[in-house]
Amino acid sequence: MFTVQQRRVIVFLCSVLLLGAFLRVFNVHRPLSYRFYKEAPLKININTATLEELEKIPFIGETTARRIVSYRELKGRITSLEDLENIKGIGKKKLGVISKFIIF
Amino acid sequence: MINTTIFVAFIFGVIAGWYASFNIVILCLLSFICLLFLSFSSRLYRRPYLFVAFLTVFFALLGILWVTPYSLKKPQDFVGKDNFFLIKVTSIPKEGYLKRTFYAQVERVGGFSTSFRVKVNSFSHRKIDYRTSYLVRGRLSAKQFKHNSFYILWLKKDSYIKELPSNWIDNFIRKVTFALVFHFKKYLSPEAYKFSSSVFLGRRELAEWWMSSLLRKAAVAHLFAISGLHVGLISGMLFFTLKIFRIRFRARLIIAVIFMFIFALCAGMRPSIVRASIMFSFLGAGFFLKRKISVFDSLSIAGIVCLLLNPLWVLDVGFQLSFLSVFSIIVGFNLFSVSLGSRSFLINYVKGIFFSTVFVFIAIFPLVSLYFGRVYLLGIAANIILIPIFTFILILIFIFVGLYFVPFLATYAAEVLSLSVSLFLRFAFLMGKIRFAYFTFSMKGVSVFLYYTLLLLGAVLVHRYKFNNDLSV
Repeated sequence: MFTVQQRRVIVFLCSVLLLGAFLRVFNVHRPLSYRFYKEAPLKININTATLEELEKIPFIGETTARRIVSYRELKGRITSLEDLENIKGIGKKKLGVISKFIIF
Repeated sequence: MINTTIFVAFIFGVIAGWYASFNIVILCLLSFICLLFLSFSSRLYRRPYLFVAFLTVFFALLGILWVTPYSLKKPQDFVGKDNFFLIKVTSIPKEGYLKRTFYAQVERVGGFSTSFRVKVNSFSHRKIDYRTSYLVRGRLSAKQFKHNSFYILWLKKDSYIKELPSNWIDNFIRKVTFALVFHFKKYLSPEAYKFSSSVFLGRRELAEWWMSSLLRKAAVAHLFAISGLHVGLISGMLFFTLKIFRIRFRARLIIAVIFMFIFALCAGMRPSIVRASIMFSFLGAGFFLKRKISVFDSLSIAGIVCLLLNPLWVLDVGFQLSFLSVFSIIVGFNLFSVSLGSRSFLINYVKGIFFSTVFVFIAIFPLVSLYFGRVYLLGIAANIILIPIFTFILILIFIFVGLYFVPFLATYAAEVLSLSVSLFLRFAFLMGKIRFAYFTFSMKGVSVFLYYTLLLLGAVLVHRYKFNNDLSV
């Protein structure tokens, strides 16, 4: 009735659906979250952190991290959140998020 | 090779026409008319080499004239001024705290035809629909990154926004896209829904920024581009599914070709998917006409059709990388006679991915360094490990979409798909963490030109050497 190739496909389909039923019943799947990717530690010192450490802060990418380092070299120590607002790419909204991950 | 020659001539014509002044365009128009008149009067078609030369010059002049309506005013000329823009929304709008963000294709500015992509920041309360055209009044700004210009259109709270009537194709695409996006959102995990929408439906605006960053660091960002891999897999699965219903081969072929073009429309009609769909239809035509189709010819004609649809695609990074990649794979496999005749499917599969990646890397790394300032060394290993998982994910997406009307079974397929996406992202994350996965390297335009000249010479030398010695792998 079915060719060998068709039988293989049907077996594959049934395996997928059975695996799905197993996962659903036992709730095995844990979705990947942003926190997993970032692996952010609790607090990062904004004045002593390296480029790689700064990039670990959520919503701080390579460009913003470089700007923070340049700002530090130019203006010296960052002492408050208002100093960070002077950096291009960090607005009020982003500041609200990153403030939980930084210390001065 | 005639088609490749005229394709290259057309590209040069479009580039020349984009940068040329209006006087040169008038000169070209007159030359075009004279050429046509001469060719008919002197019966050029009787002499093969003269005919090829005629076609080359004809397509070069056609390229110049074809791009002229768009080159009268360049996007930079509109930057910093308020203007009326005719835009077509090409992404699903994202609702932010104060503004709505979406991507659009600008078709007209003031009275001038144009074709460039903008990111629109709309502070207006007016609702914006996907695949709908609007006449808006706003201000254009530009950002420069390496050799690319990115344009942003700003619409104020009280900006003039007028919705224009949509045609039935856009209405159909909108309904299908939203139906599938909601189907994904309903059953898949948040990450799987965003990832699947990006890689299957071309809705990259739904992908999280960290997903794009992750894939970029793992040197597999090209998987976001819907192209030959998707077309090949989907057409194969469609063929198989239709065979179960005992539909004849020719009918299956016609249905598959029509489905591919509908899929290309739903996926955003980007250069890569248009190229893949046209090449696939050529393959189908070859079967129908019982003729052998040259891959070079189908690639060249796909390129000409793409540029006829939108000549400014020649300046698009996606177009350049897509065509160069496929061209390098075809040339590489032809030059080195890479044999995939082993009995083991796994060896053939790994060999195919390995050599494809090597050929593509050699061909595109100058452009990648020019546009992105980086070279990714991890590509070969990443492709060998991640592409099989990605292929499995695409198959699962197809099954999941196929079970649209059977929710009970769709939930089970969704569980496996969510887990597979999770695993894929974790693998990609691990690959991106490898030291020296990429390094910063930027090539200048002159260096890129020299590199490609040397590469072309090298290919010609290898081709001549091949006649004396058999280069088989």
